[in-house]
Amino acid sequence: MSPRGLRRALAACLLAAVAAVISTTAQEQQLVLRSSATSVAVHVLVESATKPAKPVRDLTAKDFVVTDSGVKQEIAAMTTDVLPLDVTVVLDRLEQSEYAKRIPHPQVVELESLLNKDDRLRVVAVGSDIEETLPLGPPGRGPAPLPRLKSDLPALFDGVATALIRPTPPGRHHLVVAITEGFDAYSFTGAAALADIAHRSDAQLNVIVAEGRRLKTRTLARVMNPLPIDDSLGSLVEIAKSTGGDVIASYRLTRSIGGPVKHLFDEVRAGYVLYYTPTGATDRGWHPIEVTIARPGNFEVRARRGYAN
Amino acid sequence: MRLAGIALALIGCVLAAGASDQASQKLTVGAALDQYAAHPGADVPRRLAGQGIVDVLETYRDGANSWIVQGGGDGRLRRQHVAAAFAVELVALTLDGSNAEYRAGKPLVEWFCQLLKNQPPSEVERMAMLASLAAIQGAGDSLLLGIESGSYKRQGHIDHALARFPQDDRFKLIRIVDRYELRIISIVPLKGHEVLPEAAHRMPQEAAKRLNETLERLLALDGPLVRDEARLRRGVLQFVTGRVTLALQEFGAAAVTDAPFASYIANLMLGAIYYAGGDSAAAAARYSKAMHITPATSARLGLAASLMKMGNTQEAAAIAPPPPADKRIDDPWRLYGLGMFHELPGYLEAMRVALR
Repeated sequence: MSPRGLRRALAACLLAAVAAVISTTAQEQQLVLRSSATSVAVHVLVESATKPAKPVRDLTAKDFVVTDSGVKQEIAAMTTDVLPLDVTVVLDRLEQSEYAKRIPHPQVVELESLLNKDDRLRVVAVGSDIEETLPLGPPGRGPAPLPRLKSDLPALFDGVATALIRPTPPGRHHLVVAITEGFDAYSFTGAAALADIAHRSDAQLNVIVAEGRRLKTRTLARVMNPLPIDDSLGSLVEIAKSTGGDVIASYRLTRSIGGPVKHLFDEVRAGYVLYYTPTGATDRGWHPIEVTIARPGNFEVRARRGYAN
Repeated sequence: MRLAGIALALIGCVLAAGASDQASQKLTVGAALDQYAAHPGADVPRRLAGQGIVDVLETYRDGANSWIVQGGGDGRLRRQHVAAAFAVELVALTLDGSNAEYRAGKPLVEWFCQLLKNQPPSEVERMAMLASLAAIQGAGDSLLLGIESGSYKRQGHIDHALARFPQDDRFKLIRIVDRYELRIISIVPLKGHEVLPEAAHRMPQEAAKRLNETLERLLALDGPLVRDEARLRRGVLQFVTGRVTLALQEFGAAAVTDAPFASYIANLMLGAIYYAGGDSAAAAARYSKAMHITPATSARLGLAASLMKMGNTQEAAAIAPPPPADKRIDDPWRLYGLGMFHELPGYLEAMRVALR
């Protein structure tokens, strides 16, 4: 039996987690691929600082400077191979949006069309619980069915956590793409726990923020709720950036996401993977990473902000 | 070939006529109540509702009143009980449906309440009251339930129930858990203590008074039917007001009870407290206990997060995937804010047993 009135109960009493400010300004974003506890693989994206930005593809290992916990590291190896992508789409049900409930889901179809044949796709739907509607597999298997979840109000953080916890097989990139209004209603996973998971995951989290009822919901929550608003979206954005992920904000539900998603995939495919064995850094806890380019010139460098062990 | 074709056409006509007859055999309210009286169970209300639940809800009272009258003198009270219980079954069914269905079902609550109020209190009425209140809490319908918010009071169904069964702790508990501070379900782990002080800042005296009053009322509930639930809710209240040591005591006691709901949430809360305190192993142990009680998403992800923090990523990955949709288990965590809704199936069954 499912509570039909969860929505109403929540509107009345929930500490609604709603969005705040989303900054799309380019900030340093980073990716780490780790194959073991003793070696670290960092995925680095380098673009020219000119407009339009273009990927810089002629760098060698000597052109990179990597610090781990402030200590300069020796790069043992570098690859520029294009690794296949494992893409997990986390789709919240975008409450009351019939558009978003179409089969096939227009944005998922768009995203799937940008995958190569060696890539894989998985869809995780988020409502009052989590449901994997399309298991990980090659593109072109047909549309993901609608989830059987009965409530639209999402356990967003739980869904993102479920996606991030899956380990990345060697030789692949794992991208998590959350298409969401950024409203979290039910998650047991809080922002701190989600950040912990993200820092230990090999996946890169990206957020596509759908403008649905977000602002309205936020206003409602402020009026009805005497308690502070939990800024779920703000937390999610920060966590995404810490994994090197991107945030596509203020996207309207009916608008194509093909451009930004293609850019995202192209960037990941055009990156470098630097390998090093941490030396001189503390063994446990959070390891901040910084990657810079030693070669003269202006570059935009994106790499993960760090990792936890 | 031609004969075979004609024969097939005839068979088709016969089958179609049979189907049409079956469709025309509509279950009436009276017939449904007869069947339910003989074998109280979920099946008959479900079949009647399947004919078009809004129509059924809108016509039920007239049909049930006629059926009660047909019972004559001695059978009248029994029929009133049956009709009241059936009404509660129908209201409960609307919780899986639309708002329109629930709206159509709401009048049945007050109807059955009026129907029985001149009779001596009975076990059927008691369980019908409890089930209907749990359903109302599941719908988040505080207006129908009755509101008690500081100095503002609005009479509702709970007041009728308390008037009929003033000594029953379960009704007192329903009254208390519907108070705002105990309905909070976003007891986002270890953020609670940051939450209520701000509310207290906005309404310092009222908030503090309310919280203490709620706590005192919960402390007074120590009967066997409500003890575990009261402990759990007390733990949450202590937790969100920053009294973590007292919260740990309450959760610790609730965690070892036989009540699966209270034990699950208590273990979950203990896990969250240990996790935030940096003791991932203790957190994992608590989440593991919760998972053992109910292998639902919250416990699963709590355990996976703890294992990841301990460096056991492969174990975490093995636990994290959601089960197939047809094997999903309702997560008590999602139901916490809905008061005693989680007891609805049990109350309905007890109501049917009392009717037998």
